Amino acid sequence: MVSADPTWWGRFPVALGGCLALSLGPLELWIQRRQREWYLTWRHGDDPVATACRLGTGSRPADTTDMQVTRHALGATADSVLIDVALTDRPMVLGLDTRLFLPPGQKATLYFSTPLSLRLSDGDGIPLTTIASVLPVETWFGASTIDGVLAYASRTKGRLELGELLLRRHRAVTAVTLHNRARDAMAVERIHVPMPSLALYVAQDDCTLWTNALTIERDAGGTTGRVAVGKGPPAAKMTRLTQAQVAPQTGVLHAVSALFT
Amino acid sequence: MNDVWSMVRGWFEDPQLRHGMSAVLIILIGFIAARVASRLVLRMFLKRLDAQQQMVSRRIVFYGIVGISFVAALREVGLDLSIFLGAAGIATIAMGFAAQTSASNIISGVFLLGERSFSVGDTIRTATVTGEVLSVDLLSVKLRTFDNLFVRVPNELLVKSEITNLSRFPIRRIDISLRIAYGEDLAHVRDVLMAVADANPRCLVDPKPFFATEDFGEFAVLLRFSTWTRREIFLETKNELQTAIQRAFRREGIEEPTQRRALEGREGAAPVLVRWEEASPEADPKEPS
Repeated sequence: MVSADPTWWGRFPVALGGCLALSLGPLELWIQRRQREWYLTWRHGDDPVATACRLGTGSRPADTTDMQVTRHALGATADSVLIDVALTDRPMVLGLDTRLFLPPGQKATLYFSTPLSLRLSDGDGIPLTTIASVLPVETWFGASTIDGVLAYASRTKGRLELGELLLRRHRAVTAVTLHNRARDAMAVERIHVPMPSLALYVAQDDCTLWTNALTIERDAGGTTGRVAVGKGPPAAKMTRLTQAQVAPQTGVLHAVSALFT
Repeated sequence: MNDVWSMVRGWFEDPQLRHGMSAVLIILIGFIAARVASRLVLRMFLKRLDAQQQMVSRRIVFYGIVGISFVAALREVGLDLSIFLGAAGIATIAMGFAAQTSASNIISGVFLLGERSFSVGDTIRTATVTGEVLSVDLLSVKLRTFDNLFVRVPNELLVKSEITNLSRFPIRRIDISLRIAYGEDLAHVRDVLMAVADANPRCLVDPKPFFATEDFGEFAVLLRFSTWTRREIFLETKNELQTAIQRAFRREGIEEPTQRRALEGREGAAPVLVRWEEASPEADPKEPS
């Protein structure tokens, strides 16, 4: 479960010469402020299920071997840094650990979480960079190597019970409802989730992050499907944190292979 | 001063000279208008057109306006254009003989533009050169090779030969050929290679990496390992993979093949005398005296 750590997004003061240190899942980030530049250092750990969420003052490691280091020069740095939370800029292809069959006429809701990115800006709103909390793994999703889209890949158990899902601060939860209207069973191995079409919400009680709910329907013919992005927050007492990067397509028929396989 | 002024006035009073100057002025204005119009068109459709379409539309507008102004200038000086039209047929035949290559290149250029096998900005490979397309011109295609050389390839040559467009599709397959000693367990080698691809986030998860035994060679088993990546980072990923494979093979103790010969004497055959000599420093001719 999520600990009572503070939220890791927002505006954070950084004194001149000071350094803000953030541990978020497998990501370790140091944001150092100098007179005319922000000095960023980060690395991604190997533990894919890391749950860390610590934010505070720290000092940049002296040895930056195997770390990413960038400098961002400004006229003069502001006395704070802005950390915004963002969903991935590409669709996410979620591979189920075990193939899931949905019998004809059945409906099921799967819960899974996807890694978030951090958009860093100077306190005056000048954008610095975007850093993924988990090093993204790339994949291709499409019927052939010509027809498809570049996406990020992730593995999921595809939990049917929300309580079984390990909630982590650096990931957002998405509920996908699959509805099989066809006469034969629907086999699901991978699900294509249009992350740029989703908005991000924060639960008021425990600060967990959620995206819009998704509904994927397989039509009676079995060859086409329809994806619908839920309007508004997926549950009550949630506040929208970010808007969708692109407007979601509604009512568009897709080949089943373009939604899941 | 008065002499100069009267001379200038004389020019304007001479009808032939006046028409001539008007013609020059028309061409000049036409040229400026063509430049402005072609830039305006480019700005208006910048987002809608790709680099190739931008270049073609800019040229159509530019040469169209220049052509019209040229015709208007000829009319201004009183030339009958029907003479030119009549002469055009003869000129075409003459050109057909005299400038076969140029005409062929021009027609080939039209085909290249129409076929859209590649466009400006793409990376193409021909029989002799690989490079980025800088422009598709009337007579030739200009390329910039990866070692920053400017190469002009005649259009005719491109129409006749095979062209590979390396930029057409978003993803590309990396093929790595490997040679493994006969003593190695192929299943283990496959697992090691798959782990290398899995550890590299630039290798696409899907299409999946592919391992195949190509051949059983004289001294080694020949393998092919293929994985997919984005076309923009093709070379970078290939280099990373080759380095990672070498490290993984060393770590796992997977042996690289060496050439070996086995000598077996037949039963009852006379023994073979083998003399082993170690080179002495004195005998080495390269050793400085």
